[in-house]
Amino acid sequence: MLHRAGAGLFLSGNEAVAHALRDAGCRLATGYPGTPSTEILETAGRLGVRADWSINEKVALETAVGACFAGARAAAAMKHVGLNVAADPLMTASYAGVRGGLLIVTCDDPHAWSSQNEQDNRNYAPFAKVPLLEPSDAQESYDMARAAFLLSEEFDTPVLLRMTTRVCHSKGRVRLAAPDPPGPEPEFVPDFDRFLMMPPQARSRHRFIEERAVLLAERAAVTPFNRLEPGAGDGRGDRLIVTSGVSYAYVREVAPDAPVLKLGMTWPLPETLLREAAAPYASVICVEELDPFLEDRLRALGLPVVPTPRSFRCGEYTPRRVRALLETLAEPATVEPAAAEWADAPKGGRPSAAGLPAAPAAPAPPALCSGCPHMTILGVLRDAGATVSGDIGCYTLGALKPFSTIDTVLEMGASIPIAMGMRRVLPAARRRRVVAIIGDSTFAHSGITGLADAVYNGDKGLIFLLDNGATAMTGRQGHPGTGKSLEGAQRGPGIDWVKLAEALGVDRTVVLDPYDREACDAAVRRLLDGDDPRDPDERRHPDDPDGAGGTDPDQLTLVVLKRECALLVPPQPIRYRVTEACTRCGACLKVGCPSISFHDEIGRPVIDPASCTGCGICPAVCDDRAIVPFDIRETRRPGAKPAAAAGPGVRG
Amino acid sequence: MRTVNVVFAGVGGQGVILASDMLCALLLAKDLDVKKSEIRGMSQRGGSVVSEVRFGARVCAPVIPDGEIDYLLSFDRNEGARFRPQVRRADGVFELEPWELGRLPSEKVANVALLVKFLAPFARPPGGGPASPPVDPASPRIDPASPLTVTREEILELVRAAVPPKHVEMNLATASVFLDGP
Repeated sequence: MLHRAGAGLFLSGNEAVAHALRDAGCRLATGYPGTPSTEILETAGRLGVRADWSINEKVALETAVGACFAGARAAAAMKHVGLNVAADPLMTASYAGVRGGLLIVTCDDPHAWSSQNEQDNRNYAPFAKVPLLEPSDAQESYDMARAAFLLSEEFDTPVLLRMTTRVCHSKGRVRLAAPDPPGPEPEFVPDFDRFLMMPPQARSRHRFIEERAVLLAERAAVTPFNRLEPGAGDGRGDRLIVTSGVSYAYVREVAPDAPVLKLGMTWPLPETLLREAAAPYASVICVEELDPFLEDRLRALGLPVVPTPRSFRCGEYTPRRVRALLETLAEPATVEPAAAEWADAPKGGRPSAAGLPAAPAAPAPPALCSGCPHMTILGVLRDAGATVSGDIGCYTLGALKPFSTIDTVLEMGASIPIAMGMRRVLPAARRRRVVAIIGDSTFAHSGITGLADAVYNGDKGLIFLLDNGATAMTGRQGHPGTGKSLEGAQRGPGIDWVKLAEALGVDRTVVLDPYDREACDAAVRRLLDGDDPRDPDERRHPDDPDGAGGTDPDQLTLVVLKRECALLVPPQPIRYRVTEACTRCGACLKVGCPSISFHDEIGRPVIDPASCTGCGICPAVCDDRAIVPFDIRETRRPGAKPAAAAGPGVRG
Repeated sequence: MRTVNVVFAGVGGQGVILASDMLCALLLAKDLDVKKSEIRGMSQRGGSVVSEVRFGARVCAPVIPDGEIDYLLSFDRNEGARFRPQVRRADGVFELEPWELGRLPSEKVANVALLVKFLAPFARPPGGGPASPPVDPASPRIDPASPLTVTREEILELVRAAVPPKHVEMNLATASVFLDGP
């Protein structure tokens, strides 16, 4: 919903960047979905920019670099941890320079709202020696993204735009500027000294980028993005606040009259400007989320910086935390460091509200959806007592109750190598219960190399590929396994995972329907334990006609659990309900379906008929046959009784 | 004019973000400074969705300082409970009563119903005139000069513009119930 807002538009930071891509004439935008960055590409696509999901962030940046070498303006957008994946092309793209402007957007996630860590990607700017822009709101997101292309072309460098969750997802009024005139038709003109980065070129370009940094620092001294806002002259002139990003908005909220040096271009830093700005003040205070990026550099310049307590390096800032920081730093001598060190550090959830009564409830945790095909394998592996190396996606929730199935999660694509690393050192008896599970989009992103490595190193064991035909966690985007583009068009045929695994040399592939709990249970038992009590004839499985599975666990097996994400399929009219035959064993509650809850008054579990999708996973675990199907259309006929024993919904 | 702070608290799938978008549209038309911030990374999975709307002459921070919530729209009892201690006044909390929920034609309109219930006391009667006075004349909560003051038509137009075409009728009927009584 894009609102017209008087003059300008009401946009989130992400939407503002997308508008800047359009208005700057960016010809190609690439990325991989990930909160809080996803809407940049999705909005750009809607605005008519060619925007493509890539298989991962490394490929996204490399593709954007290709467009830039061919003379077009290009952009790559990703979440903070995505830039780790793209770090290899980033480092050398800086050496190569640009032909069309190249913008790299990193969306950091202080507080790790939807991420595995809180890394501060500003550190990539001095590491890669590329200029760094930090918008504090949606308007600046637009302005800085526009300016980034000019800066990139003028200084022959990629430009890093560093957003944070609050900037990405906060909306404000944005005035758009006139679009740039269309650039020249893209054309690749070879440049031996820049686009072929071999050792002699690298040495030569290294000198260039060191000199470029000096020129960029001179620009940082005069850019309007770096500005001194003198205080109201109320006697508080003894200290200068230096701030960047969304922290600036919090400073202005709690200290509207304080003198502030507001930095928007934060690498390279303009030394002269900083010295001149700080000269009239007795001390300097840095207000910045996460790492002491500005603080360390200002201290290195010899400015009188008051050290920020380490606790303030963790988590997201809020107006309250910034007020606390300013108060702490105002009288550092009165604070006992040991006692106060971690007093303000966030723990779980949103930073608590000091001085207010505790809220009586925790935030609603995320849950798998009703009818989610992942529920089956998470339950089967839990019941089998497997050691499960997990990965990033909806199924990561399998680490939580009622599953507690997943034992490790590190980053995208780690599941298979971590499982194989364990297997290579564990004694044989312990090794066989170690398995990996990975979703289809994550497998495409960076799981394939892990599987290839397992083949290469002769690893054995079980890998479960949860193929639900979507990048479900971030909003069901397409990926190379589906062949669906960002706009939902069928751009390619989609990769056949079974053929790929066979081509790589995986010993055996098995395809199962995760809605068939019995087949999954039997297959896992057979593959994991090799102790199937049935006789060999009975043990034969359609996918394993020689019946070798139960007796030969020493194979590398890829089990593909193929079933579309429940959110891609319309709910079926056949739903399930719990009858009086229920013995309250609780097996259905352990399925992990949000439609099933225990109803205190009825005295047994109930299934919410509105959200039940009729997937059939729960009746398969009910030994009492107390879960029976019914047709929801019949309950909606005039005069028909409501679904028996339905009770109120999960959230009543 | 000081900044006014509104929290919309619910869970994924309730239309929380659409409701806060609608309030923003109303405020933007009045030429106020508006900022809105939300955390929704987990909303795909039915997790917590919180949208914070701030408006006034000039709004700095996109998030509401602790303890400064003027109005809380609670779409989910549990999620709403998290923010109650931070609401300035007890009568700043809005939620649908069980009997109101029971009368809705569909769960899908609960978001519009609660937004309209919140705006209804600020609605001027048809034909202009001052907004209806609060039930308790001593309560300053409903200020006739509040930037939230709207006409009945503005609210209906807001609904019409925001919801998908096939749900317009149902939502307008729901809005009318909360504006005019059943």
